[in-house]
Amino acid sequence: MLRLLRLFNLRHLRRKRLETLLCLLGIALGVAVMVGIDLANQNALRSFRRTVDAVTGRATHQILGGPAGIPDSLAATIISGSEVQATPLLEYVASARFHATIQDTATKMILHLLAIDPLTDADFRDYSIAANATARSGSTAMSTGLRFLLQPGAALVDEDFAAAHHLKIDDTLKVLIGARWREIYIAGLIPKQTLSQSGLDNLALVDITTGQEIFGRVGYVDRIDVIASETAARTLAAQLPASLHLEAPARRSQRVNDMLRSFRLNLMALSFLAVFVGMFLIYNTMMFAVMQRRKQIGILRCLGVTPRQIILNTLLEAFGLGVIGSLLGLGLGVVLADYVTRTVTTTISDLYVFLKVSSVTLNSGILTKFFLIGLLTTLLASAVPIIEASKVPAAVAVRRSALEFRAQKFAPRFAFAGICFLVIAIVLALNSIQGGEVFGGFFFGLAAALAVALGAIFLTPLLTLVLVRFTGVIMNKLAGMIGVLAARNIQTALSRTAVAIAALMLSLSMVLGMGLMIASFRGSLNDWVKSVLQADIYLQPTDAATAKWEALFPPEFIQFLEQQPEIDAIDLYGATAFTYRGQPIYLIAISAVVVKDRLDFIFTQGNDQENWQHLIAGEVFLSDGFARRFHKAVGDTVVLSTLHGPRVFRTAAIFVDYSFEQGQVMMDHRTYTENWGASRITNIGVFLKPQIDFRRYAVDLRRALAGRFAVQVIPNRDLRERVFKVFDQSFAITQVMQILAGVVAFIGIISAVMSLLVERTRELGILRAVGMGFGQLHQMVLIESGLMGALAACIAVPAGTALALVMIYVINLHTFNWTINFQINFGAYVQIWWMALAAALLAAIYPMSRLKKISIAAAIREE
Amino acid sequence: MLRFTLYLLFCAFTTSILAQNDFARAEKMRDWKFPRDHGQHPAYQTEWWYFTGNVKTENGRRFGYELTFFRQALAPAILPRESQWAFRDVYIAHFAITDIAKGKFYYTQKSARGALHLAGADSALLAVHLGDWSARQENGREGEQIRLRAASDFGEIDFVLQALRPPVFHGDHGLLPNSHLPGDAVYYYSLPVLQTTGILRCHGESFRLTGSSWMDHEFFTPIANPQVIGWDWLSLHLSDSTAVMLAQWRQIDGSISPYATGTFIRREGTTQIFSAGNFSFIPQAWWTSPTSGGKYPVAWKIKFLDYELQLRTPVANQELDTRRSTGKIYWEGCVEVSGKKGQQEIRGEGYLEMTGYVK
Repeated sequence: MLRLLRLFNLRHLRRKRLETLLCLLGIALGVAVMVGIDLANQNALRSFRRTVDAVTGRATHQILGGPAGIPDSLAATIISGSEVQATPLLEYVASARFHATIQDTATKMILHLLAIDPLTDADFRDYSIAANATARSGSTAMSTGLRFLLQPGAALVDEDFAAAHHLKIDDTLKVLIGARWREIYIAGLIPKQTLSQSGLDNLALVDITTGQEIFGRVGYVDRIDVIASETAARTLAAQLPASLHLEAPARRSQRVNDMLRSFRLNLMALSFLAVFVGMFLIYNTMMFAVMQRRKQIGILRCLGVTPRQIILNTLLEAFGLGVIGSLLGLGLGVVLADYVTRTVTTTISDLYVFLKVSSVTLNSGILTKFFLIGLLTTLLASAVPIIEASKVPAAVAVRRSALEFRAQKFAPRFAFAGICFLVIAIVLALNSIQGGEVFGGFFFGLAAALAVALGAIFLTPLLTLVLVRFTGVIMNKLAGMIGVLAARNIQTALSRTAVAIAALMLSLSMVLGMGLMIASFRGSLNDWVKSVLQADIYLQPTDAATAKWEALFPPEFIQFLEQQPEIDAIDLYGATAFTYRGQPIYLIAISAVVVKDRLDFIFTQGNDQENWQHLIAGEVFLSDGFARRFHKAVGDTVVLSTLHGPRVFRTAAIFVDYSFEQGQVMMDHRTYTENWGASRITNIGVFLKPQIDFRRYAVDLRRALAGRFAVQVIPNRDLRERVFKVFDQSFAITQVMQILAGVVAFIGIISAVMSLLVERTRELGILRAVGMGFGQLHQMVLIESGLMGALAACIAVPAGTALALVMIYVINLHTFNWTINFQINFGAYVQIWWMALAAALLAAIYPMSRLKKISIAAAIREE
Repeated sequence: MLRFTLYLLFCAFTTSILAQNDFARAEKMRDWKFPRDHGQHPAYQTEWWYFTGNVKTENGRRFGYELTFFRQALAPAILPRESQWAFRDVYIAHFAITDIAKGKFYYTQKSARGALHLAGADSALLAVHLGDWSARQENGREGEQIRLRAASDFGEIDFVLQALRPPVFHGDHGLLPNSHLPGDAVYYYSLPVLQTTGILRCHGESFRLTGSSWMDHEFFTPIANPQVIGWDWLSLHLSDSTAVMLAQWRQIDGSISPYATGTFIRREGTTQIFSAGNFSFIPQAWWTSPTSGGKYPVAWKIKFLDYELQLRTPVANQELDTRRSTGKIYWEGCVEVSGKKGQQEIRGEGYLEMTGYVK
């Protein structure tokens, strides 16, 4: 019997080739979204961790100093002790070039420069010198080692990097460090084998002597790596002067996690969203596939097939579809992952640390996981309706009216569930806003978003009924009888139309929610940019793109600038990575006297002039993100560790900021220098005298700097554009998700409308028989489909807005921690309307083309 | 593929003929002056201070120790640099303790650049240090008193060494040729009998000890001699208050180099120099290292003058794998001898060094 049923299945699938194809596509897309996002996340995060771990080597602890680093003498004392093994280190990620003029910025090479002391480093890291440099003859080996230690600028370069750029031993390279080009030469090569194990790409090793000299850091090391037992580490930590601190291994990985915290949460949210969208898509697809068979099931039941057999048989079919669809999805997902990895890596490189874009490595765990999720969702999605269908008495199953009747009866109950979900969403959101716990808060936020989505889904049937009744009147006026028929059709086929509308509505809500959030964010950012970026010209060391706040202006440059007669004032801006209560933050030093009358900071409270006076007097400003993260208000104190030990700073004001998600403590240069030593200048804002044309001056300045300093001269408007470019790039993945949500919507509506019309062959036949023309039929189908799209869009407006609010005021505050003011964006609303209508109308094309094939006689034979 | 370690640099030391032309060589007789000559001799590329000794507690529990400092110049002179990390000399130190009662041997190695007080040696007197390991002449009032300190995860020593004999010069008044090659010679003297007192800690246990140590100080500019594959070196304190040093170079064909040498130090401090024919130093039993596969003779038959001694080691495994610093695997450990001088029973303790046994 089962065999026969299986044959029946196959025939069904073959007969409904397009439906089957859509079903497979639905499953495949769902799996692909999940696989793609997850695979990309894993890849990018792993390569990030690998880079950090490889640089850390076997060190169990690290000794870190203040922003200036650790003075040589202190470093030497620590290294000389016997209690622990210790080695000093300096690190810089630099742009590099060779045989080329400085002006040429066409080819971009990145070198990860590591300055080590090979005499104490051997226990920490395994570097080797390429066999060809040592094995051939003793003298080559000799010269490599000796040159490395003795000659200024000698470097050992990663073999892959050298090969890729056709570099050989003795070639000279220029590396960009803090606005100056410095020269190194290749004394030897580091073989691939060691590097592929270590995970460090584009590596160049230099001796610490060369490192200090080319990095302009003579007298200081960045950190000291330590191998120590726990007891020895504790003793060492107690002995360290106040300006240094020892960081334990757990804290080290914690710091890596902290650095990527918001980024990881963002990716995680996307993964959840992807899983949600994917599962919903599969569920939707399968449910339609099964529902189409209600009648056949009824016939089979009439023929004596037991419900058990029917369930088993349908599940078998679902299993087959699930396997094929999921496999297809895995393939698609890998392709998608490649694209997403690139965006994720670029974002990490832009915001955190340089990573080489790597190809996707397949993770069998992830693939298996999502294959199973795809398959199980498929089975589940078919099990629910098929169990329901098989329980219905055979005679009733044949009649659809029974189902529709039930569906309409259930609509208010569903609506009640929907309201419950919305209440839950509100409770969760409020809880998350009030609850300080960051990670839990994030999950509450996610749960709130999910509850909003579920609430909207469950409300859809009732809202559909209400809206249809309402639109029925309008339709009557607009399109007469045909319009009314179309509206009624939606009502009578509620079991399917509601699901199709809900699917479309959910996708549209996601699109709208994300669109509104991004638009609000952009708007808030724009307000900030206008108030804070007011200097005529901005300057930045050219290597700032790679060195992430490590690229500093050399003092000669500041002197040069001060001598320019066209310049009215200079705002020296210094960002320094710092830690507060073990969390990464930034210390910002500004020229308070210069900016207090020139920039228009957005303060949360207080008088601007007074705030600035306090800052100049030695107090600090906190960014809104910092204040929220550490629960600080104006007047509160902040304890920061300085060169002279911990010091208390009073908060003069809190200001809105979008430059660092980690939060920042802002102060005047004088305050910074008193507590942390020489100012580090990372950016400069130049205010020109009134009569000077900034465009012409930018050109002149570039010319004057050429060959002397590698400094980017950025006119105000270009910088603003750049801010938005980075912003848009950060949301690149979100846009991918938006597009996918759109595709999901399209597939959902297309299969819904199609199955609706195809199944209604008999009805349509009757309509034809009673004299309706093809034109009118087409009109009815179009109206019906368009009406479904419009209904979905109607419900999506509040649902999407609610999602946006949850994203902005709940999820955002727990991940990005930005101040975003919700802004109604007309464009985002318009977008979902045309998306809905376009999807609905496109979906109607295929069913319309099938209308011609309906034979009236065949269609009404049963009547 | 070589690990990027000091070994690489040591390849440099032995083959860098070009740079070596600018280093001084052990060629002429030397006018020794102390304490100045206990200090470093930067004109020569290689220099070492070797301390070995046998010590015991009041109850007779015995330990052996080795603390060695090497100085190796990378170049005769270096370019002036901005960074304080710039250096000319690499310092390396080896530290080992033999716990004879437990049959255990512990060792470690350290290296550092001669910069920023990470490591260094004085030119006027004996004061060499690497990190917090050091050998320092503390005062010159009662002959030479030397403070030795070293610590590692396995143990720690803090010894005071009192010289009971004046420096003893090996070879031709301290100039000892290693081969027929011109310039292949070393300046070499010893403080052969150093009365030792102090504290030794080993795996948490602390011991107050007395005993005797031996210091070797050599400096030279090395020359590669492809004929020589390794050497055996021995120092002994004998029960008749004499002491002896024996050294022989093994050649590629299995023979002993004719430049083998020895110095016998009588009770009153006078010496007698041996050349190749004056003594024999013959292996009797071997121990194979489970880690390196090196096959070391750990029992020897020794004959010189009218002494006939049987040498054995209380702990077979005293092998040091120092490829990470000096690039060598060698055996250096405490030994004991027994035998006869004519009819007189003789016992003694000392240190044996064997190199070039690992293929």
